[in-house]
Amino acid sequence: MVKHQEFDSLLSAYFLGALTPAERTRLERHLRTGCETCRARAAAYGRVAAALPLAAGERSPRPGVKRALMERLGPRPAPARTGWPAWPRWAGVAAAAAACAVVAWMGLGPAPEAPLRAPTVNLSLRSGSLSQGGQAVAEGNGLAWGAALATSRAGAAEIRVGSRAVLMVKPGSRLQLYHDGEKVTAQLHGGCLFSAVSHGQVFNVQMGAIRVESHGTVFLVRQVREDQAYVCICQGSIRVTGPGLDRVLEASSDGQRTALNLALAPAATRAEAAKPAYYTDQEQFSLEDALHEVAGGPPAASKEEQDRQIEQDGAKYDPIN
Amino acid sequence: MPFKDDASLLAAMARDRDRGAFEGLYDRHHRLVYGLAFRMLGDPGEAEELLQLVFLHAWERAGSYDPARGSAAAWLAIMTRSRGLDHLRKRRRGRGRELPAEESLLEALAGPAPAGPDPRVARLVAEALRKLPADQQAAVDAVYYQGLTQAEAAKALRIPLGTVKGRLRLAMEKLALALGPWRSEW
Repeated sequence: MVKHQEFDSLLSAYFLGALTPAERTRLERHLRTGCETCRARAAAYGRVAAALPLAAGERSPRPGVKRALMERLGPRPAPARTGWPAWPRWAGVAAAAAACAVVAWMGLGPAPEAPLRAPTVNLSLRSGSLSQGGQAVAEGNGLAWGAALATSRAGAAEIRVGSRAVLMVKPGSRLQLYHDGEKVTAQLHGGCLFSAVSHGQVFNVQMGAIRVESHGTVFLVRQVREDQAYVCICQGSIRVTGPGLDRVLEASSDGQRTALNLALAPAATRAEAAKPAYYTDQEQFSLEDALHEVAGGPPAASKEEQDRQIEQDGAKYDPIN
Repeated sequence: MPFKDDASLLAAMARDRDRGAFEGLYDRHHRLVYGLAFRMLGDPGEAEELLQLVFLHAWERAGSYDPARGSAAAWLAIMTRSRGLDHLRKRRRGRGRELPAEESLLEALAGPAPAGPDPRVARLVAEALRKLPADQQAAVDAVYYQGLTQAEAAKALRIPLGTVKGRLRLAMEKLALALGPWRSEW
């Protein structure tokens, strides 16, 4: 009696894939003795086990996945590109570097709204180390739209988007990139993303419920804390939207950056749809302040050093060079 | 619709590299694959990547599908679980372990029906799974869908090992009973 209960327990665990090798040996030894009770039970449990992979429950992935998958099916002649054609004259590294947005964010949210229709823009790993779906990608190799991309804690990567944008993915980041023929959307699940996008191109960063829309600018997107996000822009304008929020941010003319603080409510609160996801607080502060505060790292370098670094970064990510 | 069943779609994929057939297969089964992937991984991005990997594998290996060994849905689902467990093991690397080879005993003792579980059986098990008490469901999820050993599940669920074993035993018995009455001899 007791013995059978023990073997019943082993059988259950066995068919659920949870036995250690030692337990399994013990069970198999018993079954080989020809115990009919256990064999009958094994047959019944076996039917359950065979059905279990089909019993997890159906669920729909986010829009765009099928399109991304079809893109990965295998080589086929690349059609002449329609969206994002030639790289226009880069407005200048300084301008690019000046048009900076800092967005700090943490958490998961809904997918980009736009389904992917005609992604004809090539994605590739320009340099650095990056994994796609858990597999390391070699420099120069193509990446898939919609694939789960990640950098390790120690490695950064630069992704080329067509000929019109370069994204630098900082260490410890996770993101997906989508393209619907008109605009490119980066969905950031955490970490830090620095994006240099050609003037005039629509580039969105989706962070949970928050979307930052830009038309050719440079973003730095970094995860700070679970409950805090902010956007900083240096030149031009960006639009920040989300539940209860639709604001256009314009840089001030005196060189100061305009910033928007977004304090994310705890996840439990966010789940209550009726409540706004965050409060906002617009203020002026410099990019250096923002970078320093977001990074939470060592004391910021001098303003001159920061400016130099930003220009160097801009030059580095200028896809023309 | 030029194709009648999954086997025809897979044959067309293998023979003609037919993307339409691939889309047909995807449209039919992607919710099943994604549902399983999400239940295992719990992260939309990772589950979507797994969904894509499974269908890419189906595209590359359509020729290896043998209808005599089971339905296309079961083929895709088993592939999803296997790759999902690989992914979970990587995620937990450092405390990885060999998973028991389920197939040997399955084949030796019970063996799925030649055509794999029929959709009715899968529905019954799914329904029974949903109806399990939350604690038993959590135990099944931990070991079957997350690939933990019973000891690991006990730790993760913060309950004694004996309790995990008991819950799994009760859960399995209920799932088996959902497929029809059978005599419990003890």
